[in-house]
Amino acid sequence: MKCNKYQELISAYIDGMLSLQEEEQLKVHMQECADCKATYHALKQIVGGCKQLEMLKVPEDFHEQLMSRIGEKEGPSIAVTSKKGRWRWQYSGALVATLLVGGLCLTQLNGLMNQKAYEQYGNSTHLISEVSIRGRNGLGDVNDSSEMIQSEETTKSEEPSLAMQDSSATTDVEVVVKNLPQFEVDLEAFLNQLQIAYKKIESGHYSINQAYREQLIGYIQTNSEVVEWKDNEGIDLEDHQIYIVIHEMPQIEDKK
Amino acid sequence: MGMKKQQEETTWIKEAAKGNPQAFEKLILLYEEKIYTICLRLLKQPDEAFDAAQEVCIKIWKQLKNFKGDAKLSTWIYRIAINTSLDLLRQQKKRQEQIVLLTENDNLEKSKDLHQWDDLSTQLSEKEGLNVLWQAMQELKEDDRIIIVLRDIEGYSYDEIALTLGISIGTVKSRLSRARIKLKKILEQNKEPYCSFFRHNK
Repeated sequence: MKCNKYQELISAYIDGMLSLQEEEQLKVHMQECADCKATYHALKQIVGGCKQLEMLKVPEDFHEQLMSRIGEKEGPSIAVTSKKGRWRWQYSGALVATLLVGGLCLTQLNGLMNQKAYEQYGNSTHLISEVSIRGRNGLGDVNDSSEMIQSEETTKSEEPSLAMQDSSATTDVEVVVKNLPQFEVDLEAFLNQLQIAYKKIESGHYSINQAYREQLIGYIQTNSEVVEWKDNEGIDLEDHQIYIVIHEMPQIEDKK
Repeated sequence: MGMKKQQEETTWIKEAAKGNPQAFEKLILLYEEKIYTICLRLLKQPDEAFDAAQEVCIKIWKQLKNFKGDAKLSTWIYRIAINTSLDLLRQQKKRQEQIVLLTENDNLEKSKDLHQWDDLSTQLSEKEGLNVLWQAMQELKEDDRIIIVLRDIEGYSYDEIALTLGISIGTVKSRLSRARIKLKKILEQNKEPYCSFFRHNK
């Protein structure tokens, strides 16, 4: 009877999650109880063995690295967008409009942003190399390639062209910041501090547990230039995660 | 593979062979895990397996135009994976036993017998073969498996698990304890492949 109670503690003991008092009691008990001692050793082995299981998973960056190498190979000049890469080509109308604050006209800004997108979104090297493969500059290429893609038959029917928005039904909030790497570092520090569970899906894409929603919203508002909440009928409360997409502001030459 | 999926795959193969990266991507996403698993099984080291698997995928990208469609795509892919890994092993001149094991099967590389390739590839690409613990975990109920994965494989803290699963820390403690003990019971079974687990890891 008592042993059952101790058995339950062993697992937490291995993880260092017992109070000092509980730990003492357990240790004393294990000195006398061969069963519990054996359970302890067995669980330790299991926990240790599981660490090895981690290596069975395909590393997270495998696919991204592969696709960027594919992009570097000489091949026909079709724009390379990975499945995840499609996110990078979107600018919602509202987001563009809010960036008008700088006083630039819409068409200028669009042209600028599309051009800059090649360089700014260069976290993924395949986007940069895409430009170098074609060896030309300018907006025209984007349209050319998207036409090429669209003229392919069945495989392309569900792929939006580069300029179009993806059906990002799962994005909850889009954010624009001045410096993406810095923002990510700070954001992660913030999340760790509050012990908010999150997953960095890739650069600029986070899935964050919404347990501390208010603080998170506050943090985002304070530390970014533009915040746009998607119209998802409010965050679905059944779903514990907030999906956030972060863009870096293009460097605009003329400051006011 | 169903008819529709088969047709889809054929289209992707055609497109990818022409050099369309998006079609290639659709294909390779289906096979990346198996390719990596095969390389890991043969090379044992995760970073070597990573590099080898990358090489395999790039070879596939380059050689798809040579794929005739007379065999299953999977068979063709796995053969590239196995051969690439074998080449690497030979270059390293170590782990001779791995090579012996494979080439024991009547010059497998030269074998045109597709069945042999299929069987071997299936064996190699299944995670079960890699780890007895993995196999034991498959016997757990999903809830139990999830909490062990979160804690012992993904390394989440109790707090993070609590947040992720929407439960209290006390519940995390008890669920995790129960799951681990169940796993222990599975591993204590007196049948293959478990009977040697606790002896092995002393």
